[in-house]
Amino acid sequence: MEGLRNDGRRWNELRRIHCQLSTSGSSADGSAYVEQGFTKVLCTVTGPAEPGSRQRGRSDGATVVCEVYFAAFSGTDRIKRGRNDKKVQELQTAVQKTFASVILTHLLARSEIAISLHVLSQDGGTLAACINATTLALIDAGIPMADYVCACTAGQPAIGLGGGSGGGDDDEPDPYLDVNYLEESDIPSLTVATVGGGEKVAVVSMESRVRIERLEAMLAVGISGCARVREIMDKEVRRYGKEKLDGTGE
Amino acid sequence: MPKEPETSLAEKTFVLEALKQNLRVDGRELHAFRDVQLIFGDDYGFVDVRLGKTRVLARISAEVTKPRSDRPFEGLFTISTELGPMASPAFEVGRPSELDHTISRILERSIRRSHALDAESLCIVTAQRVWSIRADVHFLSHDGSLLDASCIAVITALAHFRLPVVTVSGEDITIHDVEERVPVPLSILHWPICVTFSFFGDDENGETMYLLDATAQEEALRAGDMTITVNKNGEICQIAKSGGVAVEAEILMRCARLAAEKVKVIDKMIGDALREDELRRNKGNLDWLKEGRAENDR
Amino acid sequence: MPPPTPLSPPELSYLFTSLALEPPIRPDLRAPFQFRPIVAECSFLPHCNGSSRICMAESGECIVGIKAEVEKDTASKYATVIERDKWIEVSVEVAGGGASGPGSGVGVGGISGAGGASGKDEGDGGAAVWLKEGLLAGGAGILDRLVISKGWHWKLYIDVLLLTPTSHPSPLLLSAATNMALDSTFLPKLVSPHDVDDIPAFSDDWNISVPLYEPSTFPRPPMSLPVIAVGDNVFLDPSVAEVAAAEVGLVVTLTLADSEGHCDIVGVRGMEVGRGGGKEGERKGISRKLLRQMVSACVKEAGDVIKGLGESTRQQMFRA
Repeated sequence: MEGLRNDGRRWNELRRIHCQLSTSGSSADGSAYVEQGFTKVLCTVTGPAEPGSRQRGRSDGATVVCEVYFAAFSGTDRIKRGRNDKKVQELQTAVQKTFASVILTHLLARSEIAISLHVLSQDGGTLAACINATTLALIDAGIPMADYVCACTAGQPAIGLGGGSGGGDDDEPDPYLDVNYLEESDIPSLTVATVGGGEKVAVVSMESRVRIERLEAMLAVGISGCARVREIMDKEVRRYGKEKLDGTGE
Repeated sequence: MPKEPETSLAEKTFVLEALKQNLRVDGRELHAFRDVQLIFGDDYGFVDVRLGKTRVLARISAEVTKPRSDRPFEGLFTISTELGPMASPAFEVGRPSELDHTISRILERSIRRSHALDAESLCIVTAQRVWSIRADVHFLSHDGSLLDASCIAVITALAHFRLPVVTVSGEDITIHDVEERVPVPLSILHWPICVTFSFFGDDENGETMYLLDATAQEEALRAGDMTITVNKNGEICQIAKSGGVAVEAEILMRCARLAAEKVKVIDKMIGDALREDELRRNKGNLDWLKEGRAENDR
Repeated sequence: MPPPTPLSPPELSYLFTSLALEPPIRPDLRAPFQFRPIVAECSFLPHCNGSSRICMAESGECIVGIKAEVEKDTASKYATVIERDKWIEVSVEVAGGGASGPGSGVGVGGISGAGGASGKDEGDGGAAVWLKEGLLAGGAGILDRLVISKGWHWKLYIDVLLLTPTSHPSPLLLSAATNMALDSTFLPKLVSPHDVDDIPAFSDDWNISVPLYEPSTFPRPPMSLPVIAVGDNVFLDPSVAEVAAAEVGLVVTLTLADSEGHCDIVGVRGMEVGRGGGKEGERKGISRKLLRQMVSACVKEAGDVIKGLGESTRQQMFRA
């Protein structure tokens, strides 16, 4: 009998991922909804379109702007986060920078791509869910990208789950994949995002102290999670694409 | 809006081609830091850090305030950074640029959230009086690696700072003048130091090239960056890589290990500089120092 | 100000004429009382007591989350209506169009005098105040339902999140979403006695939680429908272009009175409409006959819509 985490998962288990494309109908060029456990994020993308202000237009490529909104009801307590909240700005920059380098911006000179993210419910891994939702929304909007950007979190528990195979002499416990809110506030964790199916890492973000020796294991677990997230997202994109094709074919 | 002049195409090609042959414009090795100079001011907690042409000032100040109601045992610590036109004409007053946000965010994550400063040691009277420590970072000249320089500046200044002694008797608290009682250093739990890697395209072996301590020119041309904050015990305090070129995980790990090595050197350098300064300060009253020692021995 | 439209005066005039024909022709070929498709989901946010998501073709997408907090009654022994007003807090937030910044003032579809003095210029006040007014006037006694025990009540935070950047959200969208969220709101079951002033205690078991609006009791939470008239023709659920071409407009707030789909009228408000065929200054008043036609169209046709929404809510709740 292997030990289980506080929500009944094993160390290398993802939470349920549900994703959907084109959720917002015609009101945006692309939209997607991602649920990772109880973390729920909705993303809408408008563009490529004419930039709102002249200054923003770049002659050699598209500009990517990103806005993140935390719904007041997204956490356990009702908190209204303003636009200048540090957490909001941090997320905004992270998503903006990630996608500015993955979107083939040179194909869309002098235009602007606006990403708007709504965090409806938070339960750990908000950045990861935001990145995944943005990837899907950009695909839905038909914006050229180098590849999928998939994100996942990994945490390093202080004590192993025990009972596992070879867990007895195991003084370095297995990292947890895809941490939830309780784990996130309890143990050091990192968010990692990969581009494409390989091990190319676009984003790493860690805010807690961890021994350098443990980083490798956490990264490895995170990257394996990204690969699984990619499979799930890819499946949904193909399913949606097929459905679209079949629908118009008739 | 004044803009940084764009790097010319010729310059760009030159720098990038040179890099492919493992050459940097200023003749450094790929993974070498520029010489770090630490100059201490007359006051405690005032440090001038020079990293090549980059120059950053940090100053620590302390005042007594009320603690936050949800954290009655903890003192306050704030880091304020502002990029002004003094560092580079591209920076404007009052309009924080993205670089500004990045620097303040990563300093916050590296130093404050990693609990480098023991906040509970700043408490004077629970829920009533605590020290509020403020680190002001001024950027005097910008030639790349502002973040690394400012992190060194803040940590050194914190270690250099001396807090006036406070005695509590009943309701009253007395802050003793520096002349009256020898001020005490802050309780710093560890020294987190930021190391920023700049990524460039692939070299001949198809591996991403990474530089340490990039100059402003290299920063303008890089394809991505990552900041790792490590202390000398080999603990990573934060990693921030948002976007930019995607890098193999293997290289990330190499960067992390390299950062840990570099931090040990920088840590030692800061420690040496602090000791040297202490000696210099106490030269005048070395006799007094001996007396103090003698007393302790007895 | 009526909602801005991209239509030119000749287009408006054409639209006006085709709507005034007998029988009328709507630009999307709908029947006069036909609604556009509505995608509705509810109870999908785990951190909320009630939540809903409504998506409509033109007016976009709206998410409502309702959170309830236990609060002590204000000190005064004689709780007046004014104090009870504060038991519900509504806020409307509009997502900026990414680049173009956040929507500042939100007036709901130009409802005349929405929000009384606070008007639609006062930040998000307009839509929020208007929604709250509808709830309080709703006759469904929402405030009575919020009483927990002696001296204690639930404070309801209704957060409306409009995902589509617009300065004139459709009243139907907002009120349908709020309606559905309220319909799906559950509060933990009280386990301490009703008549004691102590801090109330609640059961942890969500399976025995109490719905805010007990199913199959009436009246239900209120809902507002926009209705316009061109000539003698009355149209329900008008599109933005139709509102721009209309002569008169109303927003009728209704609650479902019984299981048959009969409705009670809770409130009627004027809605600002366009220029009526492009002729500024020739806006007509509203005749008594037309007013009756418009309101009765709402009452007759809307029952099914509200009922349908309620049924879909219950189905989804049941499934969950």
